[in-house]
Parts: sequence; structure tokens; C-alpha cells
Amino acid sequence: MRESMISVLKLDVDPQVSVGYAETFRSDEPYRLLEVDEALLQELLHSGLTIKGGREDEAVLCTSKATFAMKFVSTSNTVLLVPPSPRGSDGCDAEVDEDLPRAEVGIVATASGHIELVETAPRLENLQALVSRRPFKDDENLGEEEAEDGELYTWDELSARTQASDHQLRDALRKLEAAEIGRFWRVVDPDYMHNLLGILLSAAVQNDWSLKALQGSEVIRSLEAHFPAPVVITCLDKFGVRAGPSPKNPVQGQESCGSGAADLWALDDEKICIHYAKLLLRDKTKWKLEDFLEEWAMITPSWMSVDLNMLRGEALVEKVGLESWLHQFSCSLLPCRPDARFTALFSRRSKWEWEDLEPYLKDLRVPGQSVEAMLLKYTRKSQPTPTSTPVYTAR
Amino acid sequence: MLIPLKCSCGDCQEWAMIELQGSIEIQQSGLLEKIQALTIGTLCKRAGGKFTFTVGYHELEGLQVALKKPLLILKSRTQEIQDENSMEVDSTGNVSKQEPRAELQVIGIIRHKLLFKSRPKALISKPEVKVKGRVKG
Repeated sequence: MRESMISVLKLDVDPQVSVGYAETFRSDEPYRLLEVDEALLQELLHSGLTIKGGREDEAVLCTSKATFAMKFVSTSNTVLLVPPSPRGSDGCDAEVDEDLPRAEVGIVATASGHIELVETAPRLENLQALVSRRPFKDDENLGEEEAEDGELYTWDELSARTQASDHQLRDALRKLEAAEIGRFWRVVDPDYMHNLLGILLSAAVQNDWSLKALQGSEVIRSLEAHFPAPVVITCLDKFGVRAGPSPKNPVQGQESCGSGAADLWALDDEKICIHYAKLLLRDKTKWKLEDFLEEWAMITPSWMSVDLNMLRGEALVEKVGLESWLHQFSCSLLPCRPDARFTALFSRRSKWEWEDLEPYLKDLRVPGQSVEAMLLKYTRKSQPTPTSTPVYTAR
Repeated sequence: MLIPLKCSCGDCQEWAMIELQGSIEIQQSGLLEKIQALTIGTLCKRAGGKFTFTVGYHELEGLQVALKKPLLILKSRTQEIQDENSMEVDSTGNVSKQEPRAELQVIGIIRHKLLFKSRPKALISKPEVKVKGRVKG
């Protein structure tokens, strides 16, 4: 009876085993070694993990929640791999053994290193383009056959084309205000969304709904003649928050259409005000501040009050002589990688005060890198006099 | 492109890993082609978790070390897809359908290694001692 390597590890002191290459030894490194922690291991054993990447991408490993970069760490040591039961030194060729002392511990392969995982930010730069090829508009019938042209993507297709975990992809789709219509995820045309918001608000007034406790299913039912349910949900999500416990967010999406007690929504005045401000800024990217404020208050529903602070991250106020001007400068249009983000910020303005800069950094989330670290890396902080406000300039 | 990474056994068997500083040189050059079934040396467990590994006239001293994080042994499996449509979509850039489906399977896990990091100690072979003895005597 031959000892397996593991029993060798548990062996009593002193017995000897011979070690050698197994009959099945392969010198071409048929195996990869992947270093994982216990949490990853458990997820792998229970539900599996996914490696993602196109031909030009560096591969990443995705769990359901996080994304990891895969780094090959090579070693100059000789690493010999021994399976639990000796393979190839076992079996039917029992006649050969007289001359060849065969290995009791059979090495089946060597390894020149292993793969390490480092948590990284999801790579979702192309997502916006993928879901914006054909924004959803009014004049469309909802047939599913019309997506043959490769302009529209299903969840599975998006998941295959982005380097992010399911959880991160879902989050990103929500941020992009995309909806799953038919089987396809796509953004909603802004005019269409604006229209829907107007009708939603007037329906609320007509039906005497509380804007702080909208019943999702009821809203969908009353609007369904004109607006598909996923778009209504996207609208509620865009302009409100789910009150009450949100139902478990299923990976495959459809159930977010909601039912039961959990589909209460509270509309958020601020989000709605920002929406109206963005409409104005879309038509005209530069406004005299007082003209803008006047116009803004006029088009916003009368019971809401507008405040310039709401536009942090959407627009910048520049003082020219005695006049103040408002310029559109939306955070959502800036690159998501920190280096590119800072380049964009400093090409817009060479000096930033923290107050103005902060909203443009809020959404930058890189694992292992705090905002402070990014500021140190990409900016120079200076304070001309001890009492003046510090300013950030490009490094 | 997606490559699923799974474990079909659900309970991975533990493999062992022997790590040596330096490399194993095979002297008889004819053997380079076929090293299968070649014996390298003898492993022996000593007291206190120590191991010795004797290779030719060299003895290596090593320790059993628990890995901080386990290593998984992955093996790739490529499946040819049988979908006959795959040929037709070839030129449209519809990548996902035409690539052979690869899959990585976890076939084992390593939690410990035998690490031999000291310089090999030369073993003075017994026959030589005997010869010397005879000369003296």
C-alpha cells in the first residue's frame, strides 16, 4: 500500500518515503494556483466565481459583490505539486516495478508561481455607452424582436462585457438610470423621463397620493397605459427612495417591479429640483446666476423650494467682476478613473477650493485608496496665508 | 468573455506542495525527455514538524508550513461548442458565441507546504569513511 502525501504530513516520526515524478507528470504546468481567502473560498465552493475580460483587458475575478485584479506572482523556487492519492504510480502496470524504484509520493506537476487577488474598482467605463446606444423613447413598440441589431443588451450580455460583479453592475445601472425594458437594459430618453415625472406628479395630485408614500404598484397601474412598468420604477428610483425595507434585489432584475408591502416610495424634492435645474442647464450651459434662480423656481413644482447648494456637482458658480455666472459642469460626465478625473477637473479650473471640489470626488471609490490619498497623489494643497482657504492645484 | 470558476466536488481534496530553494538538476541528459516515474529522493519526517529530503548526496532540511491563505489548484477545461449557428455569426463581431467555452475547475486545495529553504548539506558517504579507515589501519 502506497502512502499518500497527506498521510505523509501526518506521519509518525521517522518513516521514509521516496519522492519522485509520477507517471503522469507534466512539465507544461497544466495547473494554475490561485490564492484565496476563506470568504472567497466559501463563495467559490457554494456558488462559483467568474473571471471576466475581453482580449485586450487584464482579467479580473468577480464574486457576487466585489471585483479583484489577478496578479501572477512568480517564484524562483521549485514548487512540486502532489495530489492526495498518488496518481500514475498506482494501478495495473505492476510488473514494471522491479528495476524502477517508483515514487510513493508522486509529483504530477510543477508551478512557477501563483495568482494573487487584489480587490479593485469595477471596470465599468464602457457601460454607459452600451446602455445609451438607443435610449428608450415614446414612439417604440415593445416587441422583443427589434433588438437584433446589436444596439441593445440583455443583463447577461452586459455582465459579459463589463468587468464588474453582479452587485456592482446593478448599482452602476441604477446610477445610469437605466431600465430593463423587455429583456434589454437601456437608459431612458431624458425628455421621456421628464414627461413621465410631470404625469406622475399630476397623477399624485389628482389621486391624492402622498408624495412621501407612493405605492409603487398603484403608480404603475395608473400609468401603465402609457409607460412600461420598469420605466416607472426607474423614475421612482431616480426621483425618490424606497421607503420601508427594500425587497431582496434579485440578480436577474425583473422583480424590482415590486409587489407587496415593500413597494413604498418617497419622492425626494431635492432630486426633483435638480432634475429641473439640469433641464435648464441642458438648453443653456451658461446662465447669469439671478436669471437662472428665477427661471428655476418658476419651472419647479410650486411646493418645492430650490437652493443653489443642490447643484453641487452639477454646476459651478464663477464670479466675473460683480456678476456671478452659473456654468454647467456635471460630475456624471467626468471620467471615473481617478487620474483622468483629476485631469478633467484641473483643465476646467486650475485652482479648487475644497467646498467646490468635494462633490466631484464623492463618487470616486477605489478600494484601498481614500480620498485623502488621492488628493495627495494628484493635487498640491497650498495656503497663501494661515487664515486663507486652502486651494488645490494640479501636481 | 466569461470564464466560470467552480468546484464540482464541493469538498476539495487537499494536495501537498513541496517547495525547494533552487532547482532540481537532472544529471543524465538523456532523461530530460522523460522524467516520468523518476525518483528524486527520500523524504523523512523528523521530530518537531521538521522534514529532511535526501537527494543524491545532499540532504535538505525543511519545515511544514501552514499557508496564510490557501492555494487552489485550477485546471482549465475547454469545451468546443456544438452550436452550428456559431459559424454564421463569425464576421459580425458577436464575440461571445463563437469562442470555445472555457471553464476553470478547482481540483484541489493546498493548505500546507513543505518548505526546504536551507542550503543542502553534503552527506559524507559511508563507503569513503571505510576506505579511510582501512588506509589508517
